[in-house]
Amino acid sequence: MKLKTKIIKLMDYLMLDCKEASFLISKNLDTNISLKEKIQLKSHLLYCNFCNRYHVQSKMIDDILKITPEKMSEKKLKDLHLNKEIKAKLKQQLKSKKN
Amino acid sequence: MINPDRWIEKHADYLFAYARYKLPSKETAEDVVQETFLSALSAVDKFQGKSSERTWLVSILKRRIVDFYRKEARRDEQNFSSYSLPFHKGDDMENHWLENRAPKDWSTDEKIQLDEFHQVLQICLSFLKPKQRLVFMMKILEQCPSDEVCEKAGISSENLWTIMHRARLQVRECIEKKWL
Repeated sequence: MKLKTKIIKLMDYLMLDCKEASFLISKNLDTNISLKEKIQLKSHLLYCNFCNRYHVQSKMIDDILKITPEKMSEKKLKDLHLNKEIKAKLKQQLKSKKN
Repeated sequence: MINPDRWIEKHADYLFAYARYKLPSKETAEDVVQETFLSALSAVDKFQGKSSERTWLVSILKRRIVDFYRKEARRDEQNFSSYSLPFHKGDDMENHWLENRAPKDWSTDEKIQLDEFHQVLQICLSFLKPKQRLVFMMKILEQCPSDEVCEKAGISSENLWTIMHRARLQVRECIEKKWL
């Protein structure tokens, strides 16, 4: 095979369009993607600014939705406590339900 | 040994913090945490001590969070418009980002406030079709594809990745419009 043909075949293999790349970026947040998909995606991200932004932004959205108290700062956790009255009401409810 | 009397002291704040940004508001998070403790009390006999008390409560919490979105998903889908993907179609730029809908730079000098961002995120989630939002949140909470809802709805893996992909595109775009 001529070198030029080999290069074209390699580029065909590697080059994703942005719709495909964004799909893989999303899929990668949900499950393991194959080695082939990883290589294709990394290659695309070498040159596509829009998809790089999409990558950062969709990860940001996922991170916030998936956040756990372990990942929050002490300061944040201090703010995020359950209302005292609700806690008291709950304690009552649990007591009465138990009996 | 499981001790419901101390549950509130030990776990209420943790569960609330856990649920807070997975639900639309502080109030919904409060409701869901309450529901969690009450259903945990009913199910206390089923707790086998295979995991910690907290892990067990968190698993119940996740199911109550999903129930919230499940209730919302019973709502009529009529008022939700279809989302068109932000890529060129049928021209020589096929599958490239449409220029006016391509991701902009979100970086700022100031730190992004979690609460503000979350508010915008939740508003944008509410624009997803209810069933799509349910599936999206179920996957985020790892209740899908294992949950029977996903099985019953016939959501294959491929379907699921597509649903998630479209949801993320729509939510991201909405956030950008409102944020910038």
